[in-house]
Amino acid sequence: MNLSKKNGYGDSKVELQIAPLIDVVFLLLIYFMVTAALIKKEGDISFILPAPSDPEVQIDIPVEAVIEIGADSIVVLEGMRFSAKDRDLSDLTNHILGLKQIAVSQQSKFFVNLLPDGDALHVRVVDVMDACAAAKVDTLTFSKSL
Amino acid sequence: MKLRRVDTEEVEIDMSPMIDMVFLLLIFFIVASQIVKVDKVPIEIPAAMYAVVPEDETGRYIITVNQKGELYVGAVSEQVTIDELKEQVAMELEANEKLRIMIRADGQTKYEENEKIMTACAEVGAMDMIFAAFEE
Repeated sequence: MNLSKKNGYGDSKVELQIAPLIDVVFLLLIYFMVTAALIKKEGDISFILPAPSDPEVQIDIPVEAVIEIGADSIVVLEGMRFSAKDRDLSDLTNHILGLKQIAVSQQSKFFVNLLPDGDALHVRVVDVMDACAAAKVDTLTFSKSL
Repeated sequence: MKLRRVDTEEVEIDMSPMIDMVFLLLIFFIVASQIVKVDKVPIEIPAAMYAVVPEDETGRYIITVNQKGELYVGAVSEQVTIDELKEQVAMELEANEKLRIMIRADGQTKYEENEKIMTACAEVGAMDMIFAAFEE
C-alpha cells in the first residue's frame, strides 16, 4: 500500500522560505550599524578642590594664573580679553604655557585659578578648562564666584 | 544537423555564505554597540577637545544638573536639594574615602549652580571632582 502516492503528498517539496529571515536580519544589521556610530562616550575633565593647608608648611610661592570668566562669556587673563566667539581659546593656551615656563624657570609650582562669574555659563567654564588641559595644566582650582 | 540539447537545469545562487556573513556582521555589531542609556534628565553636556574617556568608571558619585539648576543623583536620577545632596555625599564618602564626584551639568547651567555643588561637596570633604564633557 502506497499511501503517499495515493494522497499526492510525496510529490511536493518541503521548502523553507528564507527570504523574510534575510530581510529581518538585514534590518537588524542596518539598525546596529547606524546606532553603533551614533553613541557618543562621555569624557572627563577632572580637577581637585583646594584643601585647607597649614600655612607654615607652605614655603614656595607658586605662580598663579587667575582666569576670570564673565557672565557675557568673556575670558580675562592678566588684562588679556578673549571674546565669547573664541571657542578654542588657543591664545589663552599659549599665554598659560608662557606662565608655566616662568614657573619652571623659577622652580615654582604652577596652578590655574578660575574665577567665574555666578552667571557664567558652564559651557564657557568647560572651554577654559579645555584650554588649560591643552596647556597641560595639572593643578586647577576654583575661587568663589565674582 | 545535430542540435545541442538545451540544458534544463535551474541556475541557483547559493545564499548560505552570504547569510553566514550577514549573521557574523550582525553579531559583531550587537556585541560592539553599547546599550543606549536613556537619561531621565535631558541635558546637553558640553564638548571638550581634551576630555578623556575614562577606563575606570568605578568609585564615582554622579550628580546631574539641568539648566534650571535642579539636582539629580544616583542611577535612578532622584531629585534632591542641596542639603540632601550634602548628606548623601557625606554617607558615600564614609563608605569610600576615594570617592570622585562627577558633575554632569548642562552647558547652559549657570556657574553658581555648580558652585553650590562644589561648595557642598568640599564642606563634607569630597575634593576630587570631575566635569562631564563629550569628546570633540
